[in-house]
Order: sequence, then C-alpha cells, then structure tokens
Amino acid sequence: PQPGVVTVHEIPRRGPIPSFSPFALKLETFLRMAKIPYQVDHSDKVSKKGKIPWIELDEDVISDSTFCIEYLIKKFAVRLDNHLCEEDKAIARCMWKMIEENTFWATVVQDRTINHIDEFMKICKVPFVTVVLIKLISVPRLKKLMYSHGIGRHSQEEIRHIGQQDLQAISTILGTKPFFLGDSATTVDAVIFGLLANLTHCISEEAWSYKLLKNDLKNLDDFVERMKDIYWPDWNELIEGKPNTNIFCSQDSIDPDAVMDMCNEL
Amino acid sequence: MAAVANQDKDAILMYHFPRASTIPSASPFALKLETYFRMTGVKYESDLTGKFSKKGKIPWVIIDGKEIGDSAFIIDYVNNKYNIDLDKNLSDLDKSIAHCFRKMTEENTFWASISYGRLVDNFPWLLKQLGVPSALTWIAKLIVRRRLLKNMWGHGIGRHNGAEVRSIAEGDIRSISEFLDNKPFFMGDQPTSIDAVMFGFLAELVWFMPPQHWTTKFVTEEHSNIAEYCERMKAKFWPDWEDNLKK
Repeated sequence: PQPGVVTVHEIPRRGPIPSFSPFALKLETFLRMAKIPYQVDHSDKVSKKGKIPWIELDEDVISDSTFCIEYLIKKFAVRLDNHLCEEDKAIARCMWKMIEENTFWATVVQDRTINHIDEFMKICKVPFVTVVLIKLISVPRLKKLMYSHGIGRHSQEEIRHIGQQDLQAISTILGTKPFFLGDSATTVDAVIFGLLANLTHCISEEAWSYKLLKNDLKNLDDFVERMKDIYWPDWNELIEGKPNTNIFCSQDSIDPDAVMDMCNEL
Repeated sequence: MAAVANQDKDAILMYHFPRASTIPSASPFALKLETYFRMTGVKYESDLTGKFSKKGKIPWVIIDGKEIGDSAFIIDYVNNKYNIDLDKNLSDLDKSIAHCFRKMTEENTFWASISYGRLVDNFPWLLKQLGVPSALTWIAKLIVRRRLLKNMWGHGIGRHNGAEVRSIAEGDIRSISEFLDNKPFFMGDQPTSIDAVMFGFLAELVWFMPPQHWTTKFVTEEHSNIAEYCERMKAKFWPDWEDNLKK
C-alpha cells in the first residue's frame, strides 16, 4: 500500500458491476463522492471481524464499511452532509440502518443469493466447482445467519413483503428529488446506491426485487442510473476488466497532489 | 401465573412474558403490542406463562383460531380485521419516514442497546429480574446466553466490540431524539402507530436497563426529551401502569 493513500481491501471485481458486495460498492462510491483518492487491493484477505471490505491508511486499519466511512469523514474533513438540518440527518440515519440491517437480508441475501442462486452465479461467471461449493456451504450458512437474525423465520412471502415495504418507503422518501435529501448527494445516497445497484445490475431478472425496481419503483431505478453516471464514469471499463486508469481507483502509484489538483479543477 | 380461565371470546389472547418489577414487559415488542392495543381500544387478554410461538418468538397471539407471531404482522392483521388506521392523517412521506425509524429501532438499535446491555453484559441481572433461581444461572448462561450471542453474531452486531456497539446505539438514539424534538408525539400532535413502537422500545431504556447502564442516563439526561415523551405516553395509555408490575 502506498503511504498517504487509502487502500480499500475488497473482493475481486466480477460480474456486470464494479462490486457485487453492496458494502464495497457503497464504500467506493463514498470515496468518489468525497473526492478521496484510493487504491484497491483484491487479494481477498478478510479483516479480523471476518468482514470485507476494510481499509488501510498508513498505520490505521478499519473494518466494517460504516466505520470506514465515519473514519474517512473525520480524517479528510468531508463536508458532504454538513448542510443538512438535524431532522434530515436523523432521517438519513434511519434509512441507512434499515437498508443495511433489514432490506439487505430480504433482497440481496434471500432474493438474489438464495432464491436465484443459479442466475446470480451465471451473471458473475463463477466457475462450476465454486458454484457447487457455494451451494453446499455458503447458501446453508446464509440461511442460518438469516434465522439467527430473525428474518429467516418468516415464510418466503412474508420476507418478500418485508423487503417490498422497505423499498416502497425509500421510493416515497426520494419522490422526484435527484438525491435522497435534496439537490446534492450526501453519504446516504452512497449507501442506498450500493444496495440498489446490485438489485438492478447483478441479479436474476426473475427476482421480485428486480421486477419491483424496474416496473413499479422507477424513481429508484433512475436514481441508480444517475449515481452511476456521475460517480462511475469508468463503470464499463471496470466490468470489462480493463486496466483501471481512473484517478480514484488505480493499482498503480498515485500522486495525491496531482489528484487534488484534478479534483479542484472538476 | 395461570392462563386466563374464562376468556372473553371477542378479546385477543396475547402470549408474552410475566410482568417485570419496573415495567409491564421486559420485551419491547410485547410492550409495543400491548400499548398498540390500548391506543386502538382493541380488547385483549394476557397469557403471561412465557410460552413461545412456533417461530420461537414472543409476543404472539391467537385470533380467529389462528396463531400469529411477530408484533408487526399481528398489528397488520388487527388493523385489517377491525378496520383501524392510526396513521390515516399522515402523508405518505410521513408514513415512509415512520417506517424507516421503526426498522432502524427494531433491527439495529434494539440489538445494540437492549440485547447488548442485558445479554452480553449484565446477564445475571436479567436472570434475577426474570426470577430465575441463582442455581440455574450457570446453565442459563451456557445454553440461553450462548444461543443469543450466536444470534447476535449472525445478525452482525455481535462482531463489534463494546465501544463500537455503544457508538452505534448512541447514534441511533440521538437520531430518534433529534427527530422527536419537542413534539408531543413522534410524528406530531397526535399519536400514530410509530408511537407504540417508540414507546415500547424507549420505555425499556428508561425503566428496565441494568443499574448504572449508560442508556438510562442517555435518555433521561443527555436526551431528556425521550424520557419526557415516555412519561407522556405512560400517562396517556398506561394509567394503570403500577397495577401491571410484578408485586
């Protein structure tokens, strides 16, 4: 890792999305929103909490994407959310927590990974042997985690209803605004984008969450495309596996001063 | 305590934990459900023997001969059956905001404050409150607490250390306090369904956390609008609070 530059440790890029982990996608999107230069390391080491992504900056090692963001906000004096009134900050927080502690389980875990595992593996071009292992080991483990969490004790239809209510709620809150809290993007937009982009770009088209976003909650689909256009202009290059030349995400050395000059020009 | 012998056939039979000494229920979900019944005037009777539902959870009810678990599903069912809508004067936007607050409270804050404070830390206190004989403490720790810790690991919150969990809980509770501000009820001048949720949860922090636990001071001193809100809800919907405590 290069001194003075944030290194994001995350799973390798595969599939039609820069990351099929909503947490990694959220973290990278936040770094881009905050204009913090970063490098990625795909060598797959998990943090001591058994979680990925995690970040390193010089001597600091931070695990859990939310703690990473809180750290980065302090370290780089990020002002994305400063203009928000206390009530809006509170609304942002409850959406954030709902998306990650509830909606995530019903949509990404149950709908995408458990219910439509074959298509998900196909989209991500996972080799046959790995698919077999995933079905034998990871899927039962996910079901156990969902049972522990509580949500896994419900029927399929109840889980779908739970997820649908959450997505309907954020669709209503977004309304016709470009971003969740107004005209400018704030941290919670990165959080929600991380999840929703995975439900519109990296999932079976038979999944109920995909259909809901594409057919009924169109403002959420439009939000994903908007965020993608602004913060991921290199989306196609990344998913095609081309060498990354984006200033925010390079495996070559980065000159932080050069990056800041470019940011100031943007 | 025995189950109610002559049940009023119109009353819903609610299964939940025995009364605690400082609060009608140790479970924020049971307290929410009971408060909701009181807010809507729906008749209910309690079976306080602590029987768990088929999904392994409490509270649960029997309505129309059916067992229904999960406080949220029970509320939906009752709303449909009796044509009740506590939220009819809320805009769709306000309903959506209330929904997000409910989910944060039940899926995140609950684990980080109540579960953590009573199960991970201070477990013997909880057992004593629930009347578990001290001879059984070791087995309760081995079996019940271990399972609950496993649940928390599965959920994700169990992977953080105590300081991290506290900062998560503080952030959530602070948001609740900021949003509530000086309004009489969570969404405004009138009580709505989110008030059952919020009271069910916040009352636990005010009245039933281990002695000296940081949450109680947090909601009674640093964010005192929360304690004041709980007093208001208690006065309005639980005038018989004292009669519903363990003697």
